[in-house]
Amino acid sequence: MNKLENLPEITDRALDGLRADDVLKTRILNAALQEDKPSGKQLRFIPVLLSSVALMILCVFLLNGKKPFLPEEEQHLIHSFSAGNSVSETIPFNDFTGINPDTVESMELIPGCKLTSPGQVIRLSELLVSGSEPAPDCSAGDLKGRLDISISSGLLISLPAESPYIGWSDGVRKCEEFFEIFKEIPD
Amino acid sequence: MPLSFDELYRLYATDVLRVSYYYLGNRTQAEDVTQDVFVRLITNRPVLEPGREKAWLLKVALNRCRDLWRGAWFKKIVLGHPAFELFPAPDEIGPAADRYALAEAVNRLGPEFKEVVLLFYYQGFSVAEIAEILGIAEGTVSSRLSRARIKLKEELKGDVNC
Repeated sequence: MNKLENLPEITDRALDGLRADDVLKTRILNAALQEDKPSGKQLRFIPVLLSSVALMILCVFLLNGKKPFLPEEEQHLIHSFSAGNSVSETIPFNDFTGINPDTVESMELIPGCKLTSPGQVIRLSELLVSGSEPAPDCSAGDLKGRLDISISSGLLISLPAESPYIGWSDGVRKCEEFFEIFKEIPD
Repeated sequence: MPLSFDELYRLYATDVLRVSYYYLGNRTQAEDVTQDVFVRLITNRPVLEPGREKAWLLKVALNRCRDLWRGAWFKKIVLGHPAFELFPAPDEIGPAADRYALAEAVNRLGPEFKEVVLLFYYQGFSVAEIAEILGIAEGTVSSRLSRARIKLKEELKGDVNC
């Protein structure tokens, strides 16, 4: 059965429930209508623009050793997750695309420990990036738990941590390393 | 006569959705990519050569998938490799697990290998068509296919016939 020529049959059978239905079609048509409005076109570029600006400002602040503060970007970037404040929700692990790191108030690995200052979160990112390895060959595992990320607006994003690997940009860390790095962040 | 949106959606949307899902391992994101692709079709009104519509749709989809995959920094943190949420659990034993082992192995390939395997073996495009879709040389497509096959053989401990 393990013939690449059988891939269509295998995949179609496995993904039989995944079909482009009328609901998605309606969603597309509605989105296309929104795209025709000038404001819709502008909004498409805002996350990209703001992410770039946020990254540049973050770098400047890091170089100066100061705490970054970007409230306007934060409001736009978290908009895709919640229309209001103080919302708690669970999102898929790789739906991290709208989070501005500067807006992260705390990260809590459960069971584990908690980072409560922006400086700690930034330090965590530096440590993860500096020691990460190429990602493609990582495999799934069975770690249980979750990672809670609290955004300054009050939004809480709760992510399942069910793998021994944590990816970081194009790199990856074993989850146990992530735990260690997480615990070593100074208060 | 060019195909209408309705016809293109009926013919190819599921393929776009499944290839995106295969690439990203996440249904929500795959649906978002499919939406982006067809919204672009509606708003940009590209002139599509008859018979090349699917290639255009998948080209846009793969570009979008690649953007999502390559996302920078903490905003794109990934807890673990994106595993198929619709496939059987990895610890499942028996014929179903055997059947899906190849699909899971393909899913674990790096993006540059996964996309050529998906286009060649899953969607049935030729090497020349894939080269055009991905904007790379035919030799590069062949090389990636060859390396992907080697990786899959290693992954499945030789239990794969290519």
